[in-house]
Amino acid sequence: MAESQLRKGSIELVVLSVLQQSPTYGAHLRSMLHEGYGLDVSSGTLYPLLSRLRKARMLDIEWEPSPSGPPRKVYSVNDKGRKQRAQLAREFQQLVRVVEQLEQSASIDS
Amino acid sequence: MRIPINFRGFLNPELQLNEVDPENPRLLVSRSTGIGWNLNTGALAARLGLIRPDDSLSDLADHLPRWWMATARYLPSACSAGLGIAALRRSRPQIAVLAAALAWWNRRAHTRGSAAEAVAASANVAGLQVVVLSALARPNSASRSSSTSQLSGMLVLLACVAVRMAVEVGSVKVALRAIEAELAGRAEQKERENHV
Repeated sequence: MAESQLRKGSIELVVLSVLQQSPTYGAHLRSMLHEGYGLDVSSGTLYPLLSRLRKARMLDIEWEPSPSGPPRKVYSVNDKGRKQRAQLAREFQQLVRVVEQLEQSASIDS
Repeated sequence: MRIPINFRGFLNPELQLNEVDPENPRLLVSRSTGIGWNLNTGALAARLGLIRPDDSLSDLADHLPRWWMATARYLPSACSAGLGIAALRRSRPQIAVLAAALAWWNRRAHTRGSAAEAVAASANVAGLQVVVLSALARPNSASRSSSTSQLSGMLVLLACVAVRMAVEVGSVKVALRAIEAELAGRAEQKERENHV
């Protein structure tokens, strides 16, 4: 349970980071996360997250033609999203440092 | 589990978008107006493969052509008027009042809400008009067995969901087609400029 909560929290940072590097559409983002980073994010997790980030005005959308089927919704990170990503990255790094310190003291104790 | 109670949907059309939201994978969402839960037809349509999970009305409705918005605005009113007249002819004024309330609800969403909220309201109203029509067409209930009423009740519910989903999926498809035409026009213009 705790593990999945940690994962869920960090996916927002991962999604913002990936979209900041290269704006893309939902299905491609899912395959990028799977193939590039080994992260299996279900559509039931990804699309509500994209919707939430969009409602919070951190993502912009643009439409692009698709070679097969209807136009695709391409997500990109705007200024607010970049600030949020930087803030999340700082918090995450701080958390990693704390965990590393705790791990070191735990290994010394044992 | 707490049963949700909400009566803000009549006055706040934005809440109705939760009931037609494919980005939310939950099939049951709390009612925008009323007690309990309602089916999220957006999630159902996405699961059935009729639309994609990110084909949300809030991002698409602004691209809907005028003729579609006009149809979504005036067709439910015309249907309500027809239902109301038929109800009065059959001496069933309560059904006429219900039909008028649905027309008012649709008109309010189209005059005060965004395009997405207006389309969501039209989908809801069209679905409920099916229920009103079935109530109007229902013969004397005393002459029917309980199993027949249960079956017809289920069929009416299915028809209500199907009509709601048809309006939503139709709106998504029409908007995507409009975007496609817009993108093609832009590409054509760019090509012409490059040629010159």
